[in-house]
Amino acid sequence: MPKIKPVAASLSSHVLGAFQQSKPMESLANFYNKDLEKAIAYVAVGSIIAKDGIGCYKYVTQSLKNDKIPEDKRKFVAALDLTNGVLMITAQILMFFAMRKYSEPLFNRLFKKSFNNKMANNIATRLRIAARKADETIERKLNIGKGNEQVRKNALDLFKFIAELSAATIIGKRVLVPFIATPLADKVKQKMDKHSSPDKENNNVKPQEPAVKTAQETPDKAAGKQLDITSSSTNLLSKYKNTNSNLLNKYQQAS
Amino acid sequence: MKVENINQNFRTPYAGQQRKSPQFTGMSSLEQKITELLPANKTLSKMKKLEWLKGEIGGILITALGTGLVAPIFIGFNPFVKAPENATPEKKKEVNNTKWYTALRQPISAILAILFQVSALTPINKWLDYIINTPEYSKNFGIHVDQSEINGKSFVETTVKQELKKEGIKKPGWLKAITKGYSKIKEERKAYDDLFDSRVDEKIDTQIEKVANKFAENGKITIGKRKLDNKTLSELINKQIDEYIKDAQKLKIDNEGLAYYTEKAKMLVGNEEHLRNIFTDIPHDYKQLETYLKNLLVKETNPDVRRIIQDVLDHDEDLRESRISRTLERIDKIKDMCKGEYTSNKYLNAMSTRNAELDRIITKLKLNKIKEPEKATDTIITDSIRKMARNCQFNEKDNLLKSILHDTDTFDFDSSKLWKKIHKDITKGYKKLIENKYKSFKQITQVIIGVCITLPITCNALNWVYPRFMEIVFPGLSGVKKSQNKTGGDK
Repeated sequence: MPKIKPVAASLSSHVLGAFQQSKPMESLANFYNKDLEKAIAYVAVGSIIAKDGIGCYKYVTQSLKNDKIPEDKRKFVAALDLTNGVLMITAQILMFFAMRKYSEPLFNRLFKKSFNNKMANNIATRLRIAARKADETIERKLNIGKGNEQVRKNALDLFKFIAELSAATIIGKRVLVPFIATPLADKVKQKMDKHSSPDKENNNVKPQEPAVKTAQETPDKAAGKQLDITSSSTNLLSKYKNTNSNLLNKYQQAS
Repeated sequence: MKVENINQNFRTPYAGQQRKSPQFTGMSSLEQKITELLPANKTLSKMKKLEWLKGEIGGILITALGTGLVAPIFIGFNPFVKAPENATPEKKKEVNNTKWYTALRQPISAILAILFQVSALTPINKWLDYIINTPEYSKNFGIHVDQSEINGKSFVETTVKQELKKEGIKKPGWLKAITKGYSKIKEERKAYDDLFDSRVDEKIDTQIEKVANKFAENGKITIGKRKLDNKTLSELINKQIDEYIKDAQKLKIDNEGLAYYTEKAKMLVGNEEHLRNIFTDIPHDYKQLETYLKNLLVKETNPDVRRIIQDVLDHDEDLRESRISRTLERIDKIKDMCKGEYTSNKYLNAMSTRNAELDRIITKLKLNKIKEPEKATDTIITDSIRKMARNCQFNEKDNLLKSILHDTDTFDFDSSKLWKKIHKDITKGYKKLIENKYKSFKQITQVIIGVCITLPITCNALNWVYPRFMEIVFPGLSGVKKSQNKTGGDK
């Protein structure tokens, strides 16, 4: 191990060094240097959205290739997945920017007792009294003011990051999307029921395998669920499959 | 928090080891003292400890929180997913089971996300820190992220932890509270944290000073064998000039302030004798002082003096004595500014003169800025720094400037001190630059690793763990599916 470490460090530093000095990374670094708080938040939410986007892409392509879905319905099911993915991404982006607008006023409201002019003056006085008592150098007023601003900025940056990401990934993705997606799925399902005349006689057939289990028990078909970690709960295909009058199951039954 | 509480910091078990140099006052130790004095100090201290959340790991953890704790509730209790009204009880149960079967997938997925993604990113972070802070490897990166001479905070923290361990100083564990008592251990842990923070600040400060001294000597920020390019250095100089301009602007008194101070001066000087009488021999005990001031307020008939006493009483009890002495000092200051006899106009003029002096400094500093950083030569850079130092310097005998600029160390009469300070400030700017740019590289690397490696691994793990976990822990929910599967089409 001691011999491997320098080799690995040298190799990785060469590769990563080249990557870090590439043009796109340089421009990104300039963005970070200009506004660090904004850059970190944008890249963090961008990363979450990218993961959801990849998940959505996987769902759509899997639905299009899924031979368990009748050929004439595949595009429709894929469209459902695409709608769900787009819905999820849109909700997260909207919630992120909405919270970005209100996070600072919210912080000011929550911490108004700590960060105001009177408190700043009191702190300066208290620090001076303490320094005198401890026989230490008395800090200049302007430096205390800068320190105070820095404390506020550090707290605000963290608060904004947590608030904005929570709004996007918890409220947007986990609270709002399921409530929008489920009625939307029902509407699409109704439309699909009307659209699928060969099924009409099978409308009362008992549902069979819920989609989740179907995917679990047929690993070769479960690939489409692989990225379910980010969006399984709001997957329209799952919802569509999970309802009692599941068209897919009806088709399976019929065949 | 009162003054007494801050003093506790100077009486900790490791107090003697806190500062090798009595001159050293790191910004973050000042920030820590300020935080301790704020009403929301507990929340803010906890927030400070959570700063590592800002980034990819924070994003993963917040997402996992939503997935693990919020999503199951909204899936399990989703009112839109329900069996038809005329459905049989079995069918209703089946729908309910299906909902909960799906809902329970979420906490498992959250745990796996934390397990795989966060635990993978932590060593990756450490590795990146290691190569970017080690001269042998950091030279392969751009000088704008090279932290080999001014180490990143997390790297310094690791180093200091190791140093303290070597010195036999360890953070006492909570288990020792059984024998030593909770409050004793809490105090010792805080003392360790104070010592640790102080050492970290000191180490960073020493590193900055080392680079700054070299910079002052040869006019270039030098990292290893590399020199920072003129364009970046010029931009750092311009940024620093902007900071000094901000400092000067903060010392200016705006129109609102002019009106306020003029009125206040009139009130103070007009009642000088009376104020000196009542404020000279005051009790030092907080409670006694409060009673004394309240009695004064009851007896006082002069509305201006009543306002002044009320203003003192409106302050927290530990600040009242200081407020009183500052009130008397202010009277001296006003008279000083009026050069003896006070008149409202004289005082207003004196304040306007101060503003004019500050405007003069601001204009000169603005002219120091390097106009075209991309074309800056070594001479232009040295010249700009020299002018900066000259414009931040004032004559020690100039009482007016002395009284204006005493609240900041941006301006000084000692030229060699200023020369050093300016170079150190620019070096601090460089430190901020490498930190910010390194953060960009680190976060993007984490995102790429997350999307391309850890996310697919986590998803595959979920597909393997989830059905097995459900069959073992919730056979009731899984059983429904099994029985259906026997009759159903998925073969």
